[in-house]
Parts: sequence; C-alpha cells; structure tokens
Amino acid sequence: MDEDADTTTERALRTTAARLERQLETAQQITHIGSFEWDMTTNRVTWSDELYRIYGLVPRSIEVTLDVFLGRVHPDDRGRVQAAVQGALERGGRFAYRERVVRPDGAVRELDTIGEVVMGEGGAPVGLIGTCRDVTEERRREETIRLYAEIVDRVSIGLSLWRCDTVGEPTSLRLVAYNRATEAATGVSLGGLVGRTLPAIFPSMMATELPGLMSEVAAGAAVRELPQYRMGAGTYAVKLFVMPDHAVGLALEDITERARAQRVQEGEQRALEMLASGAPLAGILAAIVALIEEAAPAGTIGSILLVDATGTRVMHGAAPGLPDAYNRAIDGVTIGPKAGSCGTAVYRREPVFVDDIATDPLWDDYRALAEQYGLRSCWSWPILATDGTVLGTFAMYHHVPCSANATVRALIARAAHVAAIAIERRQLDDRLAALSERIEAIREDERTGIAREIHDELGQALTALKMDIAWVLRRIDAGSIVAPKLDEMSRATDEVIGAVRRISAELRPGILDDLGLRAAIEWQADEFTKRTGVACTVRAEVGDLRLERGLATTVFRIFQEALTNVARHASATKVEVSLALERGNLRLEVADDGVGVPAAGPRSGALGLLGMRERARRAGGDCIVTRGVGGGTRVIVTVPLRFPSERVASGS
Amino acid sequence: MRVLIVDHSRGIRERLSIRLREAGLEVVAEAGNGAEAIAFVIAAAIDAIVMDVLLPDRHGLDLLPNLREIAPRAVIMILTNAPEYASHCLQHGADIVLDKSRDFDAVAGVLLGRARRA
Repeated sequence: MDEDADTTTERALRTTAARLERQLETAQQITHIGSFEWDMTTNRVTWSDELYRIYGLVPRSIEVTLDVFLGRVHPDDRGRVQAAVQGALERGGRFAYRERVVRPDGAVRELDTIGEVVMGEGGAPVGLIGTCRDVTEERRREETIRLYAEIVDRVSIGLSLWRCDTVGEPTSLRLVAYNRATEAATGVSLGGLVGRTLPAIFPSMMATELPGLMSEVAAGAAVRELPQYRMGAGTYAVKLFVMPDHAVGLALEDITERARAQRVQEGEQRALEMLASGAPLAGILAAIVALIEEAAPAGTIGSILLVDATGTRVMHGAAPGLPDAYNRAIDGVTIGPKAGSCGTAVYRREPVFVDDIATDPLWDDYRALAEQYGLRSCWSWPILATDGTVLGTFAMYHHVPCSANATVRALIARAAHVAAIAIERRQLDDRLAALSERIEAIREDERTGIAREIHDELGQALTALKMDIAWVLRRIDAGSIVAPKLDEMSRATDEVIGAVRRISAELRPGILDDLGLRAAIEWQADEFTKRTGVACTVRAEVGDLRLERGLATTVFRIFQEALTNVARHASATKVEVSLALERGNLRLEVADDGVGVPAAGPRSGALGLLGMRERARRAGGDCIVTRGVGGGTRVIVTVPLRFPSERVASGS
Repeated sequence: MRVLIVDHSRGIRERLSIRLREAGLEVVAEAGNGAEAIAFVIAAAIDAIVMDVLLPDRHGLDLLPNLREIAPRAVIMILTNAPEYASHCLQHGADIVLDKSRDFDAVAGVLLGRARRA
C-alpha cells in the first residue's frame, strides 16, 4: 500500500530525524550551545531545548517572540543586540555578537551568538537562524587565568620555574618560565633564555648553595628557604617550592636595601652597646666606620676626625681603612675655609662633598698628599653635638672621583649622628670623671685638714689636760679622797685621746702624706692586725714612692676597702699584701685565706667592690677581684704611675 | 743635764718644762718649731732633746738627721701623740720614742737613767 509504503518511509525518516535531533540535542548539551530560529513572517522564535536551559528555563515552557527574547537580554546589552540584529537584517549574511542574558533567578550568563540572515525567495530577509554558546564558565576561567598571570607579572617577587633534566644534577636545571620581577631582581634579561640551563643564565649563582638546594627540591624535597641569600651585590629572601615533573619554583625577593638598613641598624646598636658598656671611644668610632664601610657601596673608606680642645684643629679619630701614614699626615690639620673636605666641613659647619680631589680648590693644600695615596674623592659631614658645636667629621673616601647619591648622604648623616652620640657621651663621661676626681681631691684635702686639726689641737689640749691632772695628783696626799677621781679623769682623758687619734687616722693617716704609700700601707696593715687579730704582712718591692697625691690616695683607699672587706666577710686568718712595680704600673695585691668570692666573681652590685673599681678606673687603672688559686679572695689593683713633677723620689 | 724641749704647743712645753725641773733636770730652752730647735742646738750645749715629731715647719723625721749631725752625743727623745712614726724615728736617729699623752711622766726618769749610764 502506498499509504503503508509512505508510512514506512516516513517512519524511517522520522526515526532518522529523531535520532539526529537527539544527537544534536546531546551535542548541544555537552557544548552548551543552543540554537534558535526566528521566522519574521510569524514573529515566532524557535529555541532548542539547550537554549531554554541556557536561559534558565524549562525547555519549551514558554512561547518565544523577538520581544520575549529581547526582554531576557541584559538591559545594558539590549540596545546593542537590537542594533546588531537590525544591521544584519539590513546587510544580510552573517552576524555575531556577545550578549548577557538574565535568568529568572537573576543569574547572568554570557553568550556568544553567531547567526545568519535567512533570505526569502524575493531576496528579502525572512528570518534569522543561529546558535548561542554559553561562554560564562569559559570567560570566568579565562578571567581567572588572566588575573593570575597579572599577579605573577606584577608581583615584586621574582618567580621562575626550572625543570631538572637529570634528577639531582643542579647543572641540568632549565628555565621553563619566569616573571618580570625575576629579571629586575637578578638584573639579567631573560628574554629568549627559556630552555637554557641555570649555569648559562646565572653563572654567579653556581658558586653558592642555591643550585644544590634547587635540584633537591626538584627531586621532591620539602620547601626550602634562605632568608638572607647573597648573590653579587644583592641580598635576597629565597624560597624554593616543589612543582610537578621534577620542577622547582624559585621565589627571589630582592631585600638588598632592607638587609643593608638592618645591618646598619644592628651596627648602630652594637656601637651604642659598646658606649653603654664603657668601651674606649676609639673602639666605638672604629666600629661605626666599619659598619658604614660595610653598608656603603664597595670601595668606600670611612674616616672620623675629632675637633681638638682648642677648636682649631682636627685630630685622628678612627680610619682603619686609610693608610697609617695618611692618617698621621692629616692628624692636626688646621680648620679653615680651604682645609680639604673635613677641615672645611668643620669650618663651614655643613657637609662638604668633594667629588674630585684633583680639581677641587678646597684640596689645593692637600692634593699632593691625597694623590700620593690614590684618594680621589672625599665627602665629609660635620658631627654636631646637641648644642650645635662641631665635635668632628665623618668622611667617606674613594679611590675614584664620584658623587654621593641621596642614599649615601643619608648613610653619612646617620653615621655622623651615631658618632655624635658616642663622642658627646664620652666627653660627658670625661667631664664627669674629672669633676668626680676634683670632688674626691677636695674631700681628701678637707679630711687631711680636719685630721691634722683634731690630731694636733685636740690631741695637744687633751695631753695638757692629762699633764695637769698628773700635776694635781703629785700635789695631794696619796690617801686623799680626790685621788681616785683624778685617776679616773686621767683614764677618761686617755680614752678621748685614743678616740681622737683613731678618728684622725681614719679621716686620713698623716703617714700617707709624710712618708708615702708604702709606709702608709705597712702602718695600715699593722693597725689591721692589732684591731682584728688577723696577721697582715706586707711584701713591698718598691721604695718610698712619692706618688702624686691623688694616685697615692686612690691606692691607699682601695687597700683600706679591701681590708674592710676581709674583716667583714672573709673569716680569714692571714692577709698577704704585695706592692710592686710592673711595666710602668703600680700593682697592689691583697690576698686572704678566707672563704673567698664565688668562682664566677663577686656580686656585681657589691658596693665596696664597685667603689674600688671605680677609684682604680678614674686613675686610669683597674681593680680585679678574683678567687685565689688556693681559695680565698685576691684583689689586684693596677694603676699607671704618675709622679709629682717637683719631687721624683724612689729607691729603698 | 741640759735639756731642749721642742713642741709646737706652748702649753705642753710649759708643763713639760715644769715637770722636768721638778725632777731636777735643767731645761735650757724651749723651741716651737724645727728651725728654732736647730738654732738652739747650734748655740748651746745640749745633752738631751725632747721633741715632737709633728712640727709646724718641718717634719720631725727630716729634722732628726740634722740634729744628730749637730749634736751627735745628745740624747734625742721623741715625745709624740703620733706613735705610728716610732720605728721611722728610730731609723732616722732618735734614741727613744715615748707616747706623749701616756708616757710624759716617765720622760724625766728615762732621761736621768740615760744620764747615769753615760
């Protein structure tokens, strides 16, 4: 039957069509592509099921017209889409646009639309046909990738990826990828070097530990870090991280400036600690020079000069990097308007930057000297006290003509500031020490006066009184009732006389001034034995030293303090004292056989010991308290000898 | 026995002088300082010198060798309130050292004893 045959063909066709439609449907679902067809004559729009889904709708759930379609387009894109459709209809042919559509739940999807105008038989457009691809996810991924790329490219940390051809072999590391910051940090232009090996790209790195670590990490070791990695003139914070396929990520952060600032700060800290611990000024200034030389560009030689007491000359302060002969030659240069960089800087009270000694008129008088030692530039900064007086200069020399940039100027200013603190503090210390010495001298003078006065005046008067009592006693009967009273008065007078002698000697023993240190020490040792019962022997290898009064007082008072400590704390049975000359120093040792100080030394806060040490230091010497070899305590005082200029006497 | 008293204090000199005279000694002069002492020793024949070591113009220790030189045969007794100088005085030429406040009553006896022995 025709109908049957037709039916068979139709059925076969329908089956085929249905299959194709299913395949298309599946393809659309997989690729997120929907299709549409607009029939202008009916203004009916036919959407594929996938297109409904892209719009967030149940397939075929609504009737679609052009207006319905436009209504779903994002308002911002609607005009453009309308214009594109209009243009396509006017021109004919293909068209394409990207639009955003709004789903019923408010979600926005981004679609790539490609279409074609369908022409009627009369050559006029009768509709549009096309596809919409949902590119929302793709765009999101692209955007994410673009952002990551942007981050990698803009980050100031150098990031590069290296792959190890031969596992465990650092020289086989090859550059896979890098960012701009890697080039900036290393100063190496990496364009065209992808695929080249590490030794070829960074030869200077091969001498360091980094390539070995990189190959370890590439072989799967844990993340490694080098917080302060130095390569060439730079300092970097390095991190290595594992990447797939025997690759290693290298993060290089240029911390050269930060590390330099940190070193300067640490150096300053050290200098200030030295200052606080009482180190000599020369050592502190040398430390400041050293830290600046390290922080400044290579080839910088630092120098500190000090203005002398008269304010007319500069004296050597610290310049370990300059030749000794040069330092000697400029020691004592007169300050003036044309006195090299430093002498002029003091004169002007402002920084002087001489970039080329060969041509600068400030160096006319010193040019030959500087050239002799190959010094070609000298920048000098005045070291100012808080009250504005110039204490000295901090200078930087170079063997080539050069000018100072802002960083270096800041560095010099900073060094000058730290030097100012140190110098001013030491001057203050010196003044304080001088004042303290003066007060001590006045105190001793007063004590001497009072000791003499009470010894002579009171002593004599009391003696006279005693003589008078004796006189009366001789003139009364032995049996008189007054006699016992007079005896009692005589004894009481003896006691007072004893007290006067003791107080006088404690204030200041006349023997120290009359007979000198050795006699005074021997006398004090005898007194000590008498008073405490502890044998105190003196072995003196010096004659009757007529020392300068202040120095004799210093040693004698330390000796008294040492004996006081023995009496108070030592539980000693004997004390051995020795007095000797040793390389221009006077050395006094007091050793007892008592309980002794702890092996680690006496308590630092012990005031007596502190006072002894302070006295010795003021005299330019030192006082050490240690544990004796066989127990007990040893006090050793050494002071440089000063003799009074008018009477130098020695010999036993 | 002709005695010279050397002491800075007039009160002491007077009392000592009285005491020595009571004991029968002849106090021929009193000196208030080292220079006067030297002058008297040069000017007069002195058998004994009783002196303090602390004098206003010179230290007794400095004075002793001079006195010893001028009067080699005189007995030199140091009578002082500064007994800490005793050993030094003996080294510098003194014959006897006595404590002024404690031993002054013994001065006359010691000197007379010396005189008898001489």
